[in-house]
Amino acid sequence: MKKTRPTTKWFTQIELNNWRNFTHVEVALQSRVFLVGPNASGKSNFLDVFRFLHDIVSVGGGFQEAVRKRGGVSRLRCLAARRYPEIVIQVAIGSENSTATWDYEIRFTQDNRQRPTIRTERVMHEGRVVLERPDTQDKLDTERLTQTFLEQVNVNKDFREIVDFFESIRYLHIVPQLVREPERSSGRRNDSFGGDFLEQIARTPEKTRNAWLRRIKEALTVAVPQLKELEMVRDPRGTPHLRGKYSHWRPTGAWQTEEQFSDGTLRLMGLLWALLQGSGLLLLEEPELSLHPEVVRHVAQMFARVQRHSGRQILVSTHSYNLLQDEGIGLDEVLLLEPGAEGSLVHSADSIKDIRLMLEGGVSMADAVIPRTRPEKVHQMTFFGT
Amino acid sequence: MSSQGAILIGIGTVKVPRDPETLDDPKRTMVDLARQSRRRDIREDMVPRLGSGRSVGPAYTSRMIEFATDSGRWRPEVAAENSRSLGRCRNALKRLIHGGS
Repeated sequence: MKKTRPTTKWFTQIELNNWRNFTHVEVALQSRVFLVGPNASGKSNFLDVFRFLHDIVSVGGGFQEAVRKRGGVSRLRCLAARRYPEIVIQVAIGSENSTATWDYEIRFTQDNRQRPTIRTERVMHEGRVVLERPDTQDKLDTERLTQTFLEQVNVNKDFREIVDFFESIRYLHIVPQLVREPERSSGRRNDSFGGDFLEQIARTPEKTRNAWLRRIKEALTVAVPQLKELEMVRDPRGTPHLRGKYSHWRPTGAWQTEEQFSDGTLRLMGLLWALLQGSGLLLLEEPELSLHPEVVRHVAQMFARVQRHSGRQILVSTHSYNLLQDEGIGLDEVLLLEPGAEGSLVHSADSIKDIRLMLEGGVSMADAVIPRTRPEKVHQMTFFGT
Repeated sequence: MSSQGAILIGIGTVKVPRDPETLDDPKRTMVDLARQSRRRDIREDMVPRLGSGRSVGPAYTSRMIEFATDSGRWRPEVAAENSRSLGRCRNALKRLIHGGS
């Protein structure tokens, strides 16, 4: 039987003005993207744009809440911004067959009561304007400019496709301690840090859950060969737990729950679960953390094969030499963040001639890119404490 | 590569070079063979995308590992008949295992 792949949408282009530590960014995005740069160059801030779009359309979210959550317009606006006080986010959304099916643009600032207010909101579909704000009603009642049309079901019918697309964005940065002690994150749904990871597993229909846990177990045994079984159980209070059976000197092996799993095992489980769950853009923060370098070396290829099935876009921030050593990572899939006095700049690796030449000469992507992200005076770290 | 390899990547066996020792760039040959594959998944995994600037596709290594490690696919004893260097390597490994000189 021939399998037809779903036509998944992805972000093909992004333009930012005055967003956090970026004065101006204009860059094309592939379906798999690796963000590299020094500490504090803005990798997370870049990923946060997509989380912001998700927050605008999510239940209990909205434009005001998305800005408030981030500390207000003045905190969001790039410190280097001077003459142009608007924050601008412009994205192009395409699919496999077309690079720009939809365009969404939002420009905002704050009014004299420090309330976020929209200056422009525009939606285009295949080059045709679907929404252009402020419209005549907005001009009569400026209160309307405190909300996007994106977040209002009664007016977003003509571009519900992009609303659903933004809603499907997922961010993951598992903190093993939060998985083990979910009470710390106090019942947040879809907690990006893993606070409701076990709940998410428990909410998944049993058949799907078992199939996914089986696949995860098979993948995990490569990294953790002692792991023989993996399942979800509920304790007498109804709280879900993951438990795994490990082989050891006793012939029956021993069961352990997530409380005893290692950080690496938990992070890898979270990563694999996130790859299986959902079909929208997946944002991953440093997937290499706590993992053995040999495991990390294969992560990029794993993403590629997952994507061929689901078609979903994956944006990854990384500092990992091992991850970037993969010879299948394209020049146009790597974005370099470079901090400067006027905010950080973002360049695609294929726009940098030296990197291109080095790769042609047989140097790995890691060797061509990582030295560019190294702090200039890094050796001085050793002087600390003297 | 053998007939098994040809089946794996979805091309005709006649296209597989008989004498791998004479190839200038075996990896490139492998990618070119995958380019002719009838299977889209093989092409997408092994052949680099236009604009990637790389010589192999995003899951090339993964596909090669799969071929070499899945039982019954790659038969080193058969492959060694066409590749003298692989034959020498196998002999050296055998000596190592059996503790011979």
